[in-house]
Amino acid sequence: MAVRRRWGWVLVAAALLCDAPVAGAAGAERGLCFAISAMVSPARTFSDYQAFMRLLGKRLHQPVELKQRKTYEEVNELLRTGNADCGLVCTGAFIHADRHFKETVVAVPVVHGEETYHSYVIVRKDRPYTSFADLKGKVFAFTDELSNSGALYPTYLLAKRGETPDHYFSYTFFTHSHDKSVEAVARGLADGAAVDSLVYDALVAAAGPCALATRIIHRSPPFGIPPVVVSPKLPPDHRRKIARALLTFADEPEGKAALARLGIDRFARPPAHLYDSVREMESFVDRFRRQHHAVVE
Amino acid sequence: MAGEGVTVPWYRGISFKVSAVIVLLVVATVAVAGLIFLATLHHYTEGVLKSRGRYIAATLAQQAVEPILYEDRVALLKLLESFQPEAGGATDEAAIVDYAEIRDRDGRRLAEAGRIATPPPVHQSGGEGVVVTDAGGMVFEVAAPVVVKGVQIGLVRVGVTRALARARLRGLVGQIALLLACAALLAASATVLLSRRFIRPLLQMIHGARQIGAGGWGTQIQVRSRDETGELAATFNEMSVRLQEALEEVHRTQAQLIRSERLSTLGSFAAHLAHELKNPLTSIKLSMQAMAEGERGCLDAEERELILNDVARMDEVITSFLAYGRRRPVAPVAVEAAPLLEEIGRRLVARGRQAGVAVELAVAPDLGCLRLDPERISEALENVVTNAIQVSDDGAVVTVDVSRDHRGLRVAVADHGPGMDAEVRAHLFEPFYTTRHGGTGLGLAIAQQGVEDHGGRIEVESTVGRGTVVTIVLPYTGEE
Repeated sequence: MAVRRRWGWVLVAAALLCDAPVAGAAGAERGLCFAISAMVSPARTFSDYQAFMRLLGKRLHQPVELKQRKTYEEVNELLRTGNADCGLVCTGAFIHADRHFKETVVAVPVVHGEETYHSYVIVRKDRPYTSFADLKGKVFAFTDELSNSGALYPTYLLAKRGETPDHYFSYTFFTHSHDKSVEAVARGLADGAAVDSLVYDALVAAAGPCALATRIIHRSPPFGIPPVVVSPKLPPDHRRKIARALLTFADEPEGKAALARLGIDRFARPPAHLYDSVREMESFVDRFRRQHHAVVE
Repeated sequence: MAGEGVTVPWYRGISFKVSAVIVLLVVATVAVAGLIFLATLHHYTEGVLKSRGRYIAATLAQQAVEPILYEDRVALLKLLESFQPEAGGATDEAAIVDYAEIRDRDGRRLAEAGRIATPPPVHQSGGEGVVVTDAGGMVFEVAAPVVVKGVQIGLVRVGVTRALARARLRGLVGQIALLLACAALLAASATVLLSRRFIRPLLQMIHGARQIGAGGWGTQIQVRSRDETGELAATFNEMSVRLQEALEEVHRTQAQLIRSERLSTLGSFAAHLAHELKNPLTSIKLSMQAMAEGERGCLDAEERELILNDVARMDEVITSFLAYGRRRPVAPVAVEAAPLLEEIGRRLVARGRQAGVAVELAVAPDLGCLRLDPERISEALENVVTNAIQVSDDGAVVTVDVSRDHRGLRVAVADHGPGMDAEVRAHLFEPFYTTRHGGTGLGLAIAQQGVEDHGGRIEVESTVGRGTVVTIVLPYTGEE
């Protein structure tokens, strides 16, 4: 059986194994809630995460419930309110949340030996576009408002040119998942889209027909990979237990196999300054927007 | 159908019978076909309902994956409502969904929509695929698991109502009933018209037969059809011609027979007359020859008496033959029966007395009045009584009893003579038949003629050695 490349964008917090169960932030009456904003379809996410959730629950001695939300903002809200104990969040969503409430990164996934990923700007193969500049006046698909690779990075590229998406493109829309952005381009709904490199590479490796119908015209610099964070409502000792569980997840064959289904090598502690470039991009875009608003008004 | 003969009632006519049979057949056929059609349609509709129920449940289960995983109850509710008529869902699909609900993997209800406040207990599909639970009521349930890659994350339950399908079936029943009525009406009209056309030759034949019955021999009917009825009509026409020819032959033969009978009767009459006259004529001839040959100069008194007796005998014979041969038609008049019969009786009493026989007459007082020819009746009665006197011994009694019963005037003449055997009784009234020497054999024949010409009859009861009773019965045909 060929080695299946899985979603390299997966990020999970780590903790050491411990004997005592981790009480959820919302109370001990329910299990641990693990929130994910699906970067691919929720059904596929649910299916792929079954083994991981089961094993994580075994490690933590309590059931782990997977919660999915359509938007990154909704996942952030679950974590902020404590309705989710931990979660895998997009880099952009993590940076956004980090400015409003303190989300703690407990682990980052290592994919193909790297803790980084990219943003790809893609177009359909039969279209003549060769650079991001060729998409001026075209239809462009964003993934999520808080997505780094799917929205922040292309917005940053435009901001550096003094442009806004509404002005630069003839029409924009949000797909709320990277695979849907790929499909929108392949089916001609959009002339271009910005997608997560981990998702796109995995789709190409799986010979997805939509991915094969597109090509990359722009590749971003590396960004810090989407992390596993814990809710600020979760007690510190619980955070440590989760971190321990994740960081040792790949130590056993069973855990390694479960992570392999997600395309993750292992979990690691987050390196220092991993997300600085993204923070700088977000600040730049934020400043540009305020200035642009002021000029318009 | 109108005619002089017996008219067949409409309900016994061929037209009605054929029409009734065909209408019954058509109605039965349409009814059976309708029932089979409805049964098939019912079966088909049930299959379609189950199939659509499965499709709806499976579609809901497929579309509920994302909202369940996102825990988006509003989206689930909207999804369910899209299959509800009130929410403006697709008309056909929505019209069969009575209720619907979606539960999570733990059985908690996430969303519900429908008309039933308390739906039946949850059916656990156990991830076996779409399951139909049908208790045979107006609503059956279809349950479909919500599955992601072999893992059940929820359950969709859809109550499918048969109301619309049954309402449509009821509508079809009405339409089939209308079709049945139309078919029966059309069949009745068509068969009446057709059968009347087919039996028209028969009606013409009936009319022709009646004309023949009324004397229209040789009547021909016009039938143009070339089928069996045409053949029958041709046969009828041929039969009519043959009948006419046969009847004419009968008439000719009858005329010849009558002529032959008359000649035969005349010959017999002449022979009898000659025979009756020959003996007295021979006796007179011998006497006259003896006188002419001079044996005796003249006839003595005895010879003269013999000659006179022979002449009287001849006169009697000739009178009887004339009476029989020249039958006078009856000239009836209204008469009181009792005086007439008493008068006749007195003559008969005198005649009996001459013969040494006592004739006793008994006439009932209440005989009333009747129409008859007195001369003919008197002649008939005298002949009967004379015959009784002639067969009676000296001193014997002949009774004439005149009375009235339900058949008419009754005159019974009884003697105590030798009586008759069956052979004699069989020829009693034949002309010239007699058992008495010197009798003409015409008396009783003349009596029978007279009585029968009045519409009456003569009855004979006789026992050999004990006597005979001859009864004349005359009907009261006139005023009394």
